[in-house]
Amino acid sequence: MIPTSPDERDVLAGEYVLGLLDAGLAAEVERAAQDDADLARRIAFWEQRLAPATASVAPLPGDAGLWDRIAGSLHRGAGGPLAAVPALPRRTRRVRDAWGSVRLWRAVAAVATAAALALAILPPRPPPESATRFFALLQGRDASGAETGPGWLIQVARDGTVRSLPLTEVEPGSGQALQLWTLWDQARGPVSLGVLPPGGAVRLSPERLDVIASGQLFEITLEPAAGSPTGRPTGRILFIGRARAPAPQPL
Amino acid sequence: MIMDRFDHAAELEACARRDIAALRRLYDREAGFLLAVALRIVRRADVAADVIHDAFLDIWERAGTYDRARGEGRAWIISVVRYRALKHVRRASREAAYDPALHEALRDDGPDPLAALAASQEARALHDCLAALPAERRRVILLAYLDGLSQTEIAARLGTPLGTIKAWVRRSLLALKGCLS
Repeated sequence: MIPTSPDERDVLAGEYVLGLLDAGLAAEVERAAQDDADLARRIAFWEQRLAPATASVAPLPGDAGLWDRIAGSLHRGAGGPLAAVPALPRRTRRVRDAWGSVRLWRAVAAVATAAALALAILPPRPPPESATRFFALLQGRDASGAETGPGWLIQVARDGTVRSLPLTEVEPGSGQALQLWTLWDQARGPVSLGVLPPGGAVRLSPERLDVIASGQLFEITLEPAAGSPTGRPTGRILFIGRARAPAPQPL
Repeated sequence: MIMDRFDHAAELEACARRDIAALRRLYDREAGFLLAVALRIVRRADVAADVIHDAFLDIWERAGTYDRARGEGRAWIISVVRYRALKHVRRASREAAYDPALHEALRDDGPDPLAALAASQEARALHDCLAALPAERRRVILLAYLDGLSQTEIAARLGTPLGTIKAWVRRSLLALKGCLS
């Protein structure tokens, strides 16, 4: 039973924070604190006031693989994008494997989510066009993973400006959005270029793209409206394709 | 203490908005320290790593319940780690596995907690209030808080009856509450 007298509640909260309660009573205190704001406040008092006791604890060297484990667990907790994607035709599956390899995703999550949230769209006024360095014609994929033909065009100008141009009409469901990704470094994994605005046509500033090379993979996935919560693609691939340089000689 | 502007509360609020970069910044900033906090309780490096893993998932899940009006973000994070570590040791029924020799060997490792508190300005209030307790009662509080020992373990460690330890804990908490408020 949770006591009613202030002193007894302080003692109980203190014993809870010190870890001195048996498992049953500790669980009861945790449950009670969810509805009992006074008890929660008394617990928070001890948590806050005792925390400086850790001043004597010297930090240890970090565990190199630990963040990867945490990020991996967060990703699996988010539903497992790869498990949710139906089997793809053989040729496509190789691409999927490259995207899906856990090793690819190291250190990406942070950057990608930040990019998704901070999508910088240049003003609509058309500046002088920089010559196109690469096109990527993205092929559509239906829910079964079957190819549905050219669906999206990505144009990368010499100055690094990226233009995204839908060739088909795509209406993400309510609470969903399209997110554009690119992969240039297997070790780094896919990097978000941002959540696409409704309609999907957008021009991205050159800083968005660190590196651009022939063969670079572009992909558009279906994600929550705010972008992938994990920093890597979590929804199914809607469009995928590689960058190609236009022919060097004009026709 | 080195002055710095790392804002734990703001990073937790960003975690609540599902910004995984904020969780990564907290990890980069505190993982080594939190690993040491956990290791002090669980006494095994592999288990301490598991604790930090679970604690960061907790932080991610529960960041929305953090309220900066209730206190500092760093203390909140330390609490999450301690509860995880305590769950591990209690689940492993350390009462049965209690090894007096191991605890004796570990008893003097690290700097004196009270001295470390004195050196830290932010910990001044806790230092002064702990210093006002009789030495053995102060030790009980720190063995529980820092080492995660149960009252039975503390009784065995200090060679003091369990009933006495329980009475000390109770009186120490009431004294600390008055002193720290």
